[in-house]
Amino acid sequence: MLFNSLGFLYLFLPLTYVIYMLLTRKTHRYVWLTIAGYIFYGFWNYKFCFLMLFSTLVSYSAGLGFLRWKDNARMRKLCLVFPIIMDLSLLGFFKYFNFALDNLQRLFSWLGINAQTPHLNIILPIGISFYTFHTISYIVDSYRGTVKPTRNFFEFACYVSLFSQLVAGPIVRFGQIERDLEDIDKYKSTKNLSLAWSFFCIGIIKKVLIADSLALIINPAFKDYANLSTLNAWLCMLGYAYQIYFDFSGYSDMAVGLGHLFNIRIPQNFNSPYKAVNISDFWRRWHISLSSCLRDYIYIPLGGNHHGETMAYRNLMLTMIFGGLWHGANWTFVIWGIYHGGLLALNRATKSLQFELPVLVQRAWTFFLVLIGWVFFRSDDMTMATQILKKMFGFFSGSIAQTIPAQPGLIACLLIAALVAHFAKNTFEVKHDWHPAAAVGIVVLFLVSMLVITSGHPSPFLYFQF
Amino acid sequence: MNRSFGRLVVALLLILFAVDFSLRFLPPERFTFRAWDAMILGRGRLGIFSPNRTYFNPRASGDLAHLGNFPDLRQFRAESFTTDGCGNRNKPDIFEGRPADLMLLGTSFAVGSGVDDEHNLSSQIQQLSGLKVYNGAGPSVDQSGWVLALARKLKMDQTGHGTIILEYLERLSVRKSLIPDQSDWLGDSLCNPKPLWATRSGWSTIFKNFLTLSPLEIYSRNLLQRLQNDVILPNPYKVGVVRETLLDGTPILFLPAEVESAYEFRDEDGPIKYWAQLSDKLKEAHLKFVVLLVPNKYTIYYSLLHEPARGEPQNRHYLSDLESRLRQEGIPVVNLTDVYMQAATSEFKRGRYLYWLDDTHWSATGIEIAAKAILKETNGSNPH
Repeated sequence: MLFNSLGFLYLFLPLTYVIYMLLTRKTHRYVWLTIAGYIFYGFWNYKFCFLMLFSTLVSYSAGLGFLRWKDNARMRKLCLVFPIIMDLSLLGFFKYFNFALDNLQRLFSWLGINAQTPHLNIILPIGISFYTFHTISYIVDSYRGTVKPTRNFFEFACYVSLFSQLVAGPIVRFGQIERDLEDIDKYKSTKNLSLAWSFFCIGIIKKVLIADSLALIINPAFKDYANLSTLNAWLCMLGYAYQIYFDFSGYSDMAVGLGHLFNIRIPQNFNSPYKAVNISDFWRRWHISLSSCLRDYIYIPLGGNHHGETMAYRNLMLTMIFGGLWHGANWTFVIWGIYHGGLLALNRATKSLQFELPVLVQRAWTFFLVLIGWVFFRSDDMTMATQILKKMFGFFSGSIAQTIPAQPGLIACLLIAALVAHFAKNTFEVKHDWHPAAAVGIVVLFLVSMLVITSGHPSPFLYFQF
Repeated sequence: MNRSFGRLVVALLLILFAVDFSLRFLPPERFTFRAWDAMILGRGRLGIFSPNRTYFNPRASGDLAHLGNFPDLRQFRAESFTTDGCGNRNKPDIFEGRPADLMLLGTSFAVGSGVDDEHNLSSQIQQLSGLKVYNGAGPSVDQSGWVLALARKLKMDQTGHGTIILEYLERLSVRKSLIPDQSDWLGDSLCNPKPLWATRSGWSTIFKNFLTLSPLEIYSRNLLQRLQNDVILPNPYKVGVVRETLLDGTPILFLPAEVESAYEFRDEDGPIKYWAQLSDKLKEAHLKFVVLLVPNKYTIYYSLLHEPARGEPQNRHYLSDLESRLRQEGIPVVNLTDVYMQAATSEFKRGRYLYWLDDTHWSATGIEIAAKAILKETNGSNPH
């Protein structure tokens, strides 16, 4: 079920909301939100609900272990390592097993060994990367003592399966919403209805009107990437840079809005990333919940920058490679991770040498670097990535209309997207206390988005695949 | 403004829901672009259309213009569509009076998709010859028991000269052999259906249609498609049709499947076996059997295209081969290919076409030619 589907908006959400508000006891609300989360998740494939339940049970048990063995370091270590291995094994099997086997096969061929590795028909459970991170963050934070594990199973199950953040994030840590979960029975209605719907409407407008319009234009062109002219290749990549931003930040805004409906404050996931003045700044602004997890659960445990410069570079690179792989089992994501790791390392190395360029130039340069990275991220394989890069930098001639129909529409979309992404305030910066004219404007755009949704099958979010 | 914005959005969602819900009570005539889509709703146990209904649309248009989202290529025409108690395209009193002389079976071509009640094949044969013709066509009607039961109801078995004409469209595949038909089609309720609301399955159909058919969805899609014009947004639907230009510059649309079938190897053995079995079955009931071979629009108009995207069709002889094989089997056959080839060229000079330019189906002009060709072949069965 998608946030931008009629089934969700007309059936799932009203039912979940009304029943939730009718319930007054804390545990009843936990139970209901958990059931709602499982129903929401089960719409894709109900069988994978058992996987999520298993992961929830393992992590919850780890939390109980930490409560029981407060001073037993050995048992605490066991409660840390065993559930994480379980969670990562599930993720590894479903997401990376075939990738590993394919690469093993390639290695055998390269070594001249005649061996056939099997290829399993594995379906990737949607959102597994997100809820695995939820459960692992809970285990690690409980071990570190930064959160107090809950004894209430349904509170934890509700946290893991909270439908607003379940399948495409943001990756919310238990500590970030623990207080709201504790106070879940405090309110009989939504504390700030306008704020909730304001986030939701802006999110849906970003997704349906900007991201999906761009996708409609550039996706056919990407299919025919071999015939792109240089200009078309740049237009497509610009389109993709804005598409992924408006798609994912739109989803995050909707998640935040839905969280507010149930009085749960989901943290900010995007802070105008295309306003970043350097690549480190970009990673403080882009997919904040992931980058902070990578920092706290990989970079810092690896040693961070506490063991000298060389180790800091190594740790940066390893963290970003992991970050790339987290997005999918494909070498293009690994290269994307290496590329960003390299940029971060370069940024670190040249920090003291940096000239004081005008902010606009710094932003433009950072955006350019990010844009090149998106080539690897968007490409199905390395052949596609290298072809697109060649087209972008090889000055291939060709008319704009050759592979991109609706070029006036594309240019209009790009201009609107660029203005919003580079110059407008983001959803966490605006006050959501709309002037009546602005409110009418948002409502009209929301109505248009709803009509687009009503007109056919809703388009899935890009980050569902991760 | 603290709560009012939220309330405004909730109110908007409620209004949209109410509009969507209310529009679902509209009759399908109000939101369908042609009869076919409206008439297949609420179909009964027998024919493929809703029984005992009349549809009229003064501005119906072609399936291909709709499929490919080419609103500028639409050819508007009035379309009336009447069904009998069996859910077939006939006047409801068709079973009364004298026995029927001919029964027409086949695809949407024989049904007469895209043309008025007065111009479909059965009507035109009737008008030209005075024969009583029953239109039993519908893509799903291929059970011999059902055909025989209908023939009995039409008293065709009593005359000794009843003829069944099976229309076959070039691009379609035919089942390899006759399905044993165990159904009891002789019950009293044959073509005398209860209204939908009087049966449990009828209610299930009404409920299913109510849930799945949203006029708001159709209106919204139409609005969005206006923007998907390759200027504001790309037209993703255009791959669903093949757009070509005639020698005089007139755009003409084709179904990709018919273009593809012109370049594929076709095995004629399957249909022959099936038709021979059906012919034998009908003979037992003293009914004659004639096969009507209808060429694809692409086959007929290829030579009139200006710089077609693909080369000469590879299997132009498919229908001729089928015709020879049918004659060898002793099954009467009408192959429209040659007569259509000639007529297409002569009518083209007069600005008339045998098929709609915006539709995969034949036009009233094309049907008239087919009707005359059929009458020429089945002259022996004409009692008058």
